[in-house]
Amino acid sequence: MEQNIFARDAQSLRPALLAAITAIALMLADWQHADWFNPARHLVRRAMDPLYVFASYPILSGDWLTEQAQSEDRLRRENAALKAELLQNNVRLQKFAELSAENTRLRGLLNTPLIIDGRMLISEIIGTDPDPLRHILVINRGSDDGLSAGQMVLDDQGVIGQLMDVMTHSSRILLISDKESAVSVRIQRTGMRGILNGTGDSGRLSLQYVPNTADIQLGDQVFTSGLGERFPAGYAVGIVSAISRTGSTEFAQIAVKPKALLEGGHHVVILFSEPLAKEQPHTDSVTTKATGKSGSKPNQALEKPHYAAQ
Amino acid sequence: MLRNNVSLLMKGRRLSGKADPMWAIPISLLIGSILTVYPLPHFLLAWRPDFMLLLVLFWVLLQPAWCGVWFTFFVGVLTDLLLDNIIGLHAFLFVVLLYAVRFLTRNKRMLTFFNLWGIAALVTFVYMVLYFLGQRLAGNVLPLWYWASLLPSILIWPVLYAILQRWRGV
Repeated sequence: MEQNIFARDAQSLRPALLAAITAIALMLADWQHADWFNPARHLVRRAMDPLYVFASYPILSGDWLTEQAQSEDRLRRENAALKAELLQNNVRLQKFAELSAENTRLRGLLNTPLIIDGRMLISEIIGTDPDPLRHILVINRGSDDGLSAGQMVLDDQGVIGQLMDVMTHSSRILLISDKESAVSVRIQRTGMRGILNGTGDSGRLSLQYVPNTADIQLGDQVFTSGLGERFPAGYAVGIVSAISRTGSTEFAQIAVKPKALLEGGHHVVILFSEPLAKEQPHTDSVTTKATGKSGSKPNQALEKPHYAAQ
Repeated sequence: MLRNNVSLLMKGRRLSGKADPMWAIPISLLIGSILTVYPLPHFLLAWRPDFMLLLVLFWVLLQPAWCGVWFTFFVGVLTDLLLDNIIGLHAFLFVVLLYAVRFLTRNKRMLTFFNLWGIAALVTFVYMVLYFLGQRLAGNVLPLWYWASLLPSILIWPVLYAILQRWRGV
């Protein structure tokens, strides 16, 4: 009994020092050779998978409850609104079908690969990563649904991110706003290419390595370019929201506001599409002015559609 | 006075049935890990208390015969794995913090509920400051709501204490 009470005092410096030094050694080892710890990380992820599945039930049942509790009047109004929207979209699709056919013909003439829109899978966001510093979402689909790491994730407005870890029944999405995320993009108006980095702020991405003299304006639309062979080409990413050109640096600082709802969304779409690096669906809308601008860039194969537009 | 308190304490221990923490420790860690990684909506994320820190504090202060430096180290590594941090960061922070706590409380015979609550609040605050400084050194600027988890951590301590009191060793 006495021993227990005084056991509290028996704290010697040596084991604590040893543990602290071991911890520092671990940090250095993880910094230099992160792959050494992959088995341990993988094990923890696997253990978290059933937890994520369990956590998705309250969210799903909450959805079910709100659906059940809606009044008939509200459902009628919603139905009418959706029908009107469907009609509008169908009219737009007719135009797209014609453009798509024309595009296919032109691509046939140029011997460039066709754009293949892959299968899609709708999934529900069931949570976020425990670390508030990272921009990572957890969804309720995993390798059982055929997902694999690297697939692109979208919502109805634009690109959200890519699948990072795929577990059996859940996956983790690295958002484009995460500090470690980068997307290869193209400015729609000029066709200029760039790399869009996350900043850790979900309302602001940063377009890297754009020279001070580049033709870029507020409101320019930014699309994926497909050059990184990760993200398929031609999906909306964001809008240029701020440009600052200072004489002190060679590159302009360009902020891009993401189009997708990175924080508030509820459903996401996962695209099953092999990222063909050569596909260029948006180059047809590029004006002739753009050709001279981007002609200085090295990849000549990618410039072909520009000439077709001329 | 002191003798009186000690005998009261012993009586308390006898009343609580001298529960063996053999299973309570791993089970509390398991539940703590689940609460640490349980998926939450984005607006709630910052308000999640630091369960692992509070647990390690409870066991090291109140069950020192079972939980020492290497227990602290192990829980730290587990926290790093759960949070996908660089491995060893929380282990280092926990070991240093808990050593400081035990060194500074070595002469306190009585760890009453309110003493412990104060210690828990202070330790959580110092932990957050150290973590903040560590992240600043690594070049990460933390948003202001990083500090939001301080209050829930302090408020959750009485709950944690009430649940785990049965296995209190000293």
